[in-house]
Amino acid sequence: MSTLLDVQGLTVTLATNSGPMTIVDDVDYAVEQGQVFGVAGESGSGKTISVLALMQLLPAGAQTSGRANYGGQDLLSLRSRALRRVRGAELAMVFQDPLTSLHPMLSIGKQLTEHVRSHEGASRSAAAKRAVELLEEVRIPDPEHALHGFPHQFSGGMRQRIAIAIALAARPKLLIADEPTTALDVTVQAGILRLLDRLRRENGLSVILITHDLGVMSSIADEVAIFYAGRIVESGPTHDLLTAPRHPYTRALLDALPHPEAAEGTALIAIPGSPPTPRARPSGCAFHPRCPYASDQSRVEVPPLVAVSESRLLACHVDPFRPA
Amino acid sequence: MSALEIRDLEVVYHDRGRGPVRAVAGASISVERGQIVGLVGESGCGKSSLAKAAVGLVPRAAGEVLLDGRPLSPLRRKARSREDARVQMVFQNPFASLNPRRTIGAQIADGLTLAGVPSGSHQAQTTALLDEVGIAAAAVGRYPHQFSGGQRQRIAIARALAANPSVVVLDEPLSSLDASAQAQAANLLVRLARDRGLALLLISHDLGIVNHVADVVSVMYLGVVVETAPTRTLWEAPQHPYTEALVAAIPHADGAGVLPEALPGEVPDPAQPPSGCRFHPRCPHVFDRCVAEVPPLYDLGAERTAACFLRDPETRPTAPLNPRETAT
Repeated sequence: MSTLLDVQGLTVTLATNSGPMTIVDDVDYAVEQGQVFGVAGESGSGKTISVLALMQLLPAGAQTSGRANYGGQDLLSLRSRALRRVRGAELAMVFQDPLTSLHPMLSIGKQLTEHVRSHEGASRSAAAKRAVELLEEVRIPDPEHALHGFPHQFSGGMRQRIAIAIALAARPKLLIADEPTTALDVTVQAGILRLLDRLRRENGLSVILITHDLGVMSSIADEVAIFYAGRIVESGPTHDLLTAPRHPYTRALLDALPHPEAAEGTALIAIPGSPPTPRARPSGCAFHPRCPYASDQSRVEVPPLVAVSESRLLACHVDPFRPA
Repeated sequence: MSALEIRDLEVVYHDRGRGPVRAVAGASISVERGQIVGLVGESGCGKSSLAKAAVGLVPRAAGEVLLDGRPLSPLRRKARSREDARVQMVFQNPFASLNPRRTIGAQIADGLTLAGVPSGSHQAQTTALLDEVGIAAAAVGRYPHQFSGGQRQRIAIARALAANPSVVVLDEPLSSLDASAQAQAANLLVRLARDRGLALLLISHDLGIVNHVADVVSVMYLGVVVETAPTRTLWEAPQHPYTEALVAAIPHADGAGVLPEALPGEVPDPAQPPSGCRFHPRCPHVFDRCVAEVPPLYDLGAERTAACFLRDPETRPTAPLNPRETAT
């Protein structure tokens, strides 16, 4: 496996009415070829902003620093022409709600062929043929007929498949999927996860999957990074991380989930307090006010993300779950 | 006598140019005091329509809704009677259901007025209600936007409690919350049922959380209840193929890397429901009878019912439901 994307020291500051606000703070990660890289964390932890930065899709006034190496170039410093070449053709994105990302007044065929033609310079008929192939690829029934449909005529699950087909139109190597199944029923979610898994296996597609659902993460991601208050607090192979979490926050997230085999009448374990807003991030380790293991050092010093084994990274001064 | 009893309920919407749509096509559910009944199913199965009809927000086309054995009168322009206020509803998005321009204290006091609490004791009761849902009493003068999503949902629950209900219908109260906030709200619901003896009808598409908090679960498909059972037995041995598919679709955070099973197809248009068993076009076990006849709810004993011909005691095949291959 080779590294497709290498993000180093990514920091994003957004301009707000009350001054600049750091949303993503010194984040490092790498995505390998053909890998599903999971990004998990609660709302407001900076998951989405950290990937929008890669596509230079941040709101006006945002400041980005750090590097995102992709094929020998830094995605964060690309100028308009190079950026246009990369967006869609190398990196593509799907969002939580396909109703807002699909154009409501253009037919599915129009939206698909537009991408094919602009990126590949294909003729009208070649583009139409490719559009049908793409819809087949994402398992839309009766693709010729679907080309003439409009987004509102499809169900949520079908719309998300169409959004993925459009994202795949220019044969990107990396798909960024931001909560792609959160708005869907579990039955439909399972179909989308299986689709992503097949694209990874058959086409070697790499995926950055953002989700707050650790169940989704468990079923498909190879690696997971856990975000808290704009920083990665722990990362590693999915199985290791979910079965032996090292960071108190990761452990607390898992403990808060309903467990199918839990004894009847057991209460769920909520994390005390609420996640901090970017405006009021605590000093030191941002999780310390909610952490039962916090030390004096946790309160004053930001713990660095360091390797604790061959494949695991952890940002915790205390490391209470270190294997004996 | 059940705290809430819904019998053969039908909800029909009349949409111009589309003909009548039977969103709820004869559903029965009952909730006892101190009990949490979960109602699950995919979007478009009629869960929310049933919830709204249960509190009188949409008219019933047929059937009845009984509150402590007494028929619920439809909601009109006039304020509801004190008896009818004994059923309250909590919605999915508390940002939309709480008034952004009024303090949370004032909104909770509305419920107290409805329940006939003299205004002199509003302050003390508001404080007690906030305390019950885990919000600091000092927050009484704040506005909804000053709270997190999880806190807002608990405030919405406090407001529902202020009217002193015996039944609370909750429509997807947990689905917009993060895991930790969801855990807090779920624990609160269990406490309310146990300590206050409230009857809760919890509508959710999140089967994991329903599995954890509900005593009994009903599964709804295209306007009808297809299976009802005590929670534990429902998940361990689903008797209806639709329930089985729902359970198999839940991803587990166990690190095992197992992809959940997809259920092919989609919920059909309720304006044109399939013949016979409404689930037959998506069912892996479908046979001739399913296309021709509507399966009744068979009583399987141990408080279980399922509407599937595989469970017909006359012809019942012995084989359990089989796991199936799923296309991607």
